[in-house]
Amino acid sequence: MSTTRVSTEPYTISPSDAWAVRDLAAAAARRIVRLRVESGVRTGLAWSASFALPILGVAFVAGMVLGSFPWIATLVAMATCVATGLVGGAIWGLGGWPSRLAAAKTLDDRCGHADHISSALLAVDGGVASRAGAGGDAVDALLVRRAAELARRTDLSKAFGAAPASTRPWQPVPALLAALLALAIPFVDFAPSADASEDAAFLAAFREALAAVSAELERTAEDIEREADDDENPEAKKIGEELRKVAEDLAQNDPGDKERAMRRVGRAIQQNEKEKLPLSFAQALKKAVGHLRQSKHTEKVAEKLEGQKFGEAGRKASELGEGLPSMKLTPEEANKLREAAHGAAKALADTELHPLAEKLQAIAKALEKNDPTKAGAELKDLAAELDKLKNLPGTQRMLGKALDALKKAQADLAQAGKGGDGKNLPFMDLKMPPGDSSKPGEGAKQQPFAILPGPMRPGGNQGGGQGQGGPIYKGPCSFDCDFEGQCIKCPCRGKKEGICPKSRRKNPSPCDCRTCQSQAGGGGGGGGGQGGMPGAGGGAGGLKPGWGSQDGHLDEASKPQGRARRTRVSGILGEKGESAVMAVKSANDGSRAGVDYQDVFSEYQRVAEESLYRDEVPLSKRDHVRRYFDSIKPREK
Amino acid sequence: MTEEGKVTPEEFEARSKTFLETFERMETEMAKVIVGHRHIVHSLLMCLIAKGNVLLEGVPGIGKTMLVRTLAEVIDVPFGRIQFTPDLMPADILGTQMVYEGEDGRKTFGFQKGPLFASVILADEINRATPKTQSALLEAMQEHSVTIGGTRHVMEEPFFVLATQNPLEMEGTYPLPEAQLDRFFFKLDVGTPSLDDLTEISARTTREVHPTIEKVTDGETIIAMQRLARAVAIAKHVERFAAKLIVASHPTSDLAVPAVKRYVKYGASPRGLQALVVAGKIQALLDGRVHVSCDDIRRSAHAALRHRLILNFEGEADAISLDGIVDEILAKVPEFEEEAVAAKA
Repeated sequence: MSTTRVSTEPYTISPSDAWAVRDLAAAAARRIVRLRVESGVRTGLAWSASFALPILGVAFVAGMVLGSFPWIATLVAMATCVATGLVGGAIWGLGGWPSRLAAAKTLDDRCGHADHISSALLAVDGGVASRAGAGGDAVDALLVRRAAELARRTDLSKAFGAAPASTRPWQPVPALLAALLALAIPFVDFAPSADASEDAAFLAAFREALAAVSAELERTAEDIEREADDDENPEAKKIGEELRKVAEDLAQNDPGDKERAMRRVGRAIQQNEKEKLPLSFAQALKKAVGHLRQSKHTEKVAEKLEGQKFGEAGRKASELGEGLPSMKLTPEEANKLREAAHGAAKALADTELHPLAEKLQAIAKALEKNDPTKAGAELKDLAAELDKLKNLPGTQRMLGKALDALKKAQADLAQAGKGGDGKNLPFMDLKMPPGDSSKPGEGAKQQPFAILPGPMRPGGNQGGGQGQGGPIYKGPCSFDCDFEGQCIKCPCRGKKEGICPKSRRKNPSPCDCRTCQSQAGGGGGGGGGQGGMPGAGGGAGGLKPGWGSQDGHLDEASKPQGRARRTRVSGILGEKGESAVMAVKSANDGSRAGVDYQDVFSEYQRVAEESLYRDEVPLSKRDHVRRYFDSIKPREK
Repeated sequence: MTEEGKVTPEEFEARSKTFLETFERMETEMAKVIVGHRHIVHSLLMCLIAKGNVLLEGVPGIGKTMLVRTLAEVIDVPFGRIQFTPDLMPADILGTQMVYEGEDGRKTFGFQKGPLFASVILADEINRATPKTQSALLEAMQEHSVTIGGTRHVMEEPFFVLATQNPLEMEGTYPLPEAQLDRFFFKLDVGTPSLDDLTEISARTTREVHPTIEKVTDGETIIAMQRLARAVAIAKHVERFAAKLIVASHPTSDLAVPAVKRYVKYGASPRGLQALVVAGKIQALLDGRVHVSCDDIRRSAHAALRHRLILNFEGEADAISLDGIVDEILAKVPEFEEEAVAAKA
């Protein structure tokens, strides 16, 4: 902006008047920006409030799915929204900073000043209409003088009151609805309801099975705890307690809780397994026993170790340690004993039983130095280490018992779930070790077990074992036919007598309609399904007799072997005598029936031509029909 | 006044007051004869101050001629009346070369001034004359001078042409060409008087006593007023607003409003802008201001633009009102570019 012109003429614009006008314009600009920011923030808040409703809606849905209301995510989303609205509104307000001229013009419009301030501002900043003529600069001076008087009287707070009210009165509505929705949150039960399941009957049966399984698990847990108390084995007792927790969780009859409960106990047992039962334990022990058997002095210890009777092995070791200093070992005996200890130590060195290996190594060194006293002392220490492991077999036996109980519970629950599709049934797949876990050491050779969380179809699980091909359903046939099974989807329902509504053939024996034929191989498809793997095809194959693959994959036996056969037969229809009809019979090899387009076209064209000449069709219209058939005529090969 | 063209603010203020008083006195005197039509009288006087010419349009018998005659009586200036007819020739209004015989018997050509050589000219029923005669007015209206026989004859100031035309009886008339219409500062539609006005007209004109009109001013004062009006300040943004109105009246411009795009063939010329600004200046003085506001521009927009917009075929077929188009232009064209930003606050 230029400064006020300085002129020697007596009617130069007064600086005080000029500053009055300028100050007023600047103040108006600041006021406008303030109002814009206020308006922007208000609009931003209203905007963010309108997002509260969808956010809460999404949170409700998520809560229903997850089983609990996602408070943190909801609050973070809302806070982000509000912050965005606030900051965005403020930025919008600050972004539109008006020039002083624009502010003056706005002020003029609001106060009815008839462009007085804005014109005077231009006069101050460089002249408005200082044209040559009657007025000259005097006009500017007079204009600014009057504007300055007006500016001194102008009350900006009256000119720019509060920011105008929102032009969208509906804006608070979503926020109010969101507030009402928020008030309802404490009263909503987000836990998944059993009634929400597609198959209530299935869930009812499943709940009964849960109760039975729970009771069985609890009994097993009591047995384990009792035996653990008898053996004074805290690890085994812990297994019993964990199993009891599983039983209690199952007893709550809540699939959602069951999943968490089983996951928890699975983790606990798995952790216990990792800590207490190293993978190489049994093999290493077996090797160590082989080495110890080389010496007649350690043979008894080896026997006890082979039976995993660590306490007795320890006693034998202690006895040997006490007697060793007084024994008069020949060099050969001493050498064998040393080699036995050294070999056993080497076998156990890389396992979790390395404390035993260290002691055995110390014994071997003592014997190498021909120091039976020290070797005896080391043997006593070895006995103490072995004594610490006396509970290990019991622990593993109890673990095997618990795992067997869980496996049986899983099988029982799967069996209970076969009546429905079990789509929404969360389940845990406990893959048991292939070996007999009841035998100590066998199960520990393999990966103990894997916890596979996630939904699994019970039917699919069952299908892995039962889908062996062929019609599966062996129930009584309500039609009293010789057919091996009754297909619930076959249109003839396996009925031997009468006409099959599908094939239109009389007395099919056995039913050879397409559906029944496809059933014959369908079971095999089901059997090949990946039972137990979530989402794998063919899950229900084992449970639904003869359906085979649900996703249309047939096994080799049920795949179509050839094209459909067309048969053209002549018949007598109507009063005029013979006419040709085409009967298309579906092939009995399971493939679809089909008719060549050429045949269909010629038939249709012939009928159309006949109609054209028989009916009273105008000549001009007949060409349309002919042209149509010409246009869709099959191409010459 | 200190010197020509240089006045002090105080002197300018005093002149403004005098201007306003003179104007009001002229209005008052004319109101003694002219019943109603205050807006017409006001606009007529504005045209006089603006050095413009006025086209008065109205049905016969509503006082158009009386209006002009009254104006001539209020101002102490020569008055000339030309009744336009189809056989009127240009020489009849401009004047002609006459043969004069001197005392010595020698005969010389001399220019005999026509009725156009007056200060206030009434061109009555101008659309009845042929275009040739109508065109004779062109130079006089625009240049305030006529050229006859190679000699330019300057009109005496103030020079003010008031033309009237009758929208009825169009048969045998010659509508004014666009170029001539553009030369009229304002086109004023003189409407039918209201009931009260008619009663008053009856009372005033059917009695023996006629109102006496005083001459309230003279030609020099009018010229001074004309000069003072042009010295009024106008801010850039107000001038720009007036220009935007002109641009918006053109159907091909970016600012054109929908009605203009649909119904207008040609928009207003720069003369329209001059008319808007000068009328705005006079309006500002009449409001006691020394600067023009956007409102001043708006108030003169109809009179200044309505005869400068030319409707297209669709507009004429639909009998679109030009005042309606001007209304839409005024409603849609923003006064100030940044005002939209500031107004949102």
